[in-house]
Amino acid sequence: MKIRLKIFRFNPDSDSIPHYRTYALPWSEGLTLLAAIRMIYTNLDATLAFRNYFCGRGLCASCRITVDGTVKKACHFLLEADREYRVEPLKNYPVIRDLVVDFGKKRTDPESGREFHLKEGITF
Amino acid sequence: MFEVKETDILVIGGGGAGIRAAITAAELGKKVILLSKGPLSRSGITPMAGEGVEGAVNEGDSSAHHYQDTIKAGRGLADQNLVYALAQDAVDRIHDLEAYGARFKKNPDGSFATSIRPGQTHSRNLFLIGGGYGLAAGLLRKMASLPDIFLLEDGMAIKLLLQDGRVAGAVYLDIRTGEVHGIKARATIIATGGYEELWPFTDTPPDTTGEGLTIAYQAGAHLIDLEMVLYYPGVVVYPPAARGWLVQYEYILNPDILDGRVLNGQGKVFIQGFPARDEFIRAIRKQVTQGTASPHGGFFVDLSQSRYSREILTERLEAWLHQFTNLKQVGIDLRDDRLEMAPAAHYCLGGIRIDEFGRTNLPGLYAAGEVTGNVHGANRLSGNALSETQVFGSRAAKAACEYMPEGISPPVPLQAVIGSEYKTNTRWKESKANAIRPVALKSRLKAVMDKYVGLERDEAGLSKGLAEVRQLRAEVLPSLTINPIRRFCYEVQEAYEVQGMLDLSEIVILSALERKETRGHHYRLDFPKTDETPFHISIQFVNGEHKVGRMPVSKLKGEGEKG
Repeated sequence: MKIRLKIFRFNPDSDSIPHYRTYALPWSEGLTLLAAIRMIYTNLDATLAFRNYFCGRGLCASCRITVDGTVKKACHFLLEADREYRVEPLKNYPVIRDLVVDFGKKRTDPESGREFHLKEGITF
Repeated sequence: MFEVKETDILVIGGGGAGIRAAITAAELGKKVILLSKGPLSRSGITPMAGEGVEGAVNEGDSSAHHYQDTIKAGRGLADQNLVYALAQDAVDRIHDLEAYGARFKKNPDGSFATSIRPGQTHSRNLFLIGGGYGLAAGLLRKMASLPDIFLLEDGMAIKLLLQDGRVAGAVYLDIRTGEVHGIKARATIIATGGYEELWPFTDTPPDTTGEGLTIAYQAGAHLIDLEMVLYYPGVVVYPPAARGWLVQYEYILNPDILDGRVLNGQGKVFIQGFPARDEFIRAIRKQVTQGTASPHGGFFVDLSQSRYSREILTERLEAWLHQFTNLKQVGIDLRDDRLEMAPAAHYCLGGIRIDEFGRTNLPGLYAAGEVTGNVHGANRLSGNALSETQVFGSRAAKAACEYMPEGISPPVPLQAVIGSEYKTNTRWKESKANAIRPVALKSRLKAVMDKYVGLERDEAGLSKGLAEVRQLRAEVLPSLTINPIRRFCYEVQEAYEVQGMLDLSEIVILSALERKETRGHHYRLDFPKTDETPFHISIQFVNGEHKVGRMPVSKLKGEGEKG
């Protein structure tokens, strides 16, 4: 059994608009989207950009990815056999390349002109 | 093309210790650059930590008890003055965290809720709401209020800059652009965490590759007890969707919480009571040797015999084990399913040698957190790791701010250093015969480390491992090849990582060979006894050679003796 992932690709250095590339993978019981993306990078396409910092267990939320239009944690998202999924970067964040987004928000200190990052999305 | 930034204090590593160091330095009025390989609170080990923080907050408990328990758990290898500092400062740093906005579980009367963990004589384990992520979030909120911290995310330190024998900053790879830049600093603090990624089965994220340790070593820093790697007994090994997830066995076995059992491959209970980590691992190892372990070399967790009703279990699982809900997401119900777990590399006890002020042997270089080597000894108490990040992050920053030599004017040879890094980058990007990707080389290295430098070690295996690591470096590393994209090319990062991992593996094995005894998490089949007098294994890079030696464990000075 197989699955297909249609993945958003965009390199602002060389592409004027994003495009999609579809990868076919063998499916096995319990295959998560995170594991599938790692599989593509390891076995099929070295140029795919993604963040491999994930805790892989739903704590850090860094693997949030848009799947068929809805934001999901990739490590918790189980793929079903014989389906195609559209995989895009997390909504509402600037894309660095492919599936990698910038989580931080740049801010300039008006006095010194220094630029620094402030975190977004942290709730207390 | 490159740029050079200048700062008072450079902090390398954006986990609990690094952010805490940056906060302290900024509060002392210094300009800080915080360099982090990934996004803060979304990379590294801290956000993945459990909720436990050690602090003697309860009546009847004291820093003296905290000190004694930690020393005892260290199996003779914890430096006493460092443990004294840890026990002394832990509660103050916890109050800091609370002031920054991190939240703790509280009792109805407003006091901290605590629990007791193996090895503790008093209930001393506080609960951070949100675990390590909650801690990081609190630190970040504080950091955002301090304008003098300049944050560089997606930046990986690749070399320390030396000037007249002192550390004067670092060169780093900007992963987002693929460019290499320099930072000149009057003092540098390393807080890059552990090196669990040298092994294939870990519960830590994939960026824990230890290059902070490697670059410090190459600059001449004194490293200590690198052979001591703490394995956590309870990490999911099967099914694959949850592989690498830590599930606190402390709660499962605790008769007052979940009252669960651990079973071997034949469904028999093989451990009674509430063992410390190294003892538990020894029991599992025995099952493996006897051929009675579970199919993937571990054991099963079983809650079906618990004395508590399903309602109580559900309530407690939800309250105590955040993993319960996560496991349900991938189709595992702890109440009904037997979960298969095995020991995984969890925490690196060894690292850079520091004193109680976070100072290393190199002027201008400070270190804090898991990257340091002589705080816990040969075994660590649950919850002391997060306390360590806060205590020593703050101490290292204070010492660094006091050091601050005047000016950083004599130019360090930045251009040459950066130029040579660009050459390395270009070489990696050239196509070559026998090309090997960093991801493939990493997995070959991990297989060697797993086979010869895992839970059980002996002279013959370690020597073979050493030879194979050296062979990989000499014969395979030159064929390392990466794709030519510059912008956020994960392969460049991995190339630097694997290069450092090869160097680090070599000195880990040299240290393991030198420790000809069994102690804590270092288990030598050929030397099963523990030496009477504990000693550190130290290693230093002097004139291009590895100098391995032994040194005594430091004793508490003067009035501290009362603990």
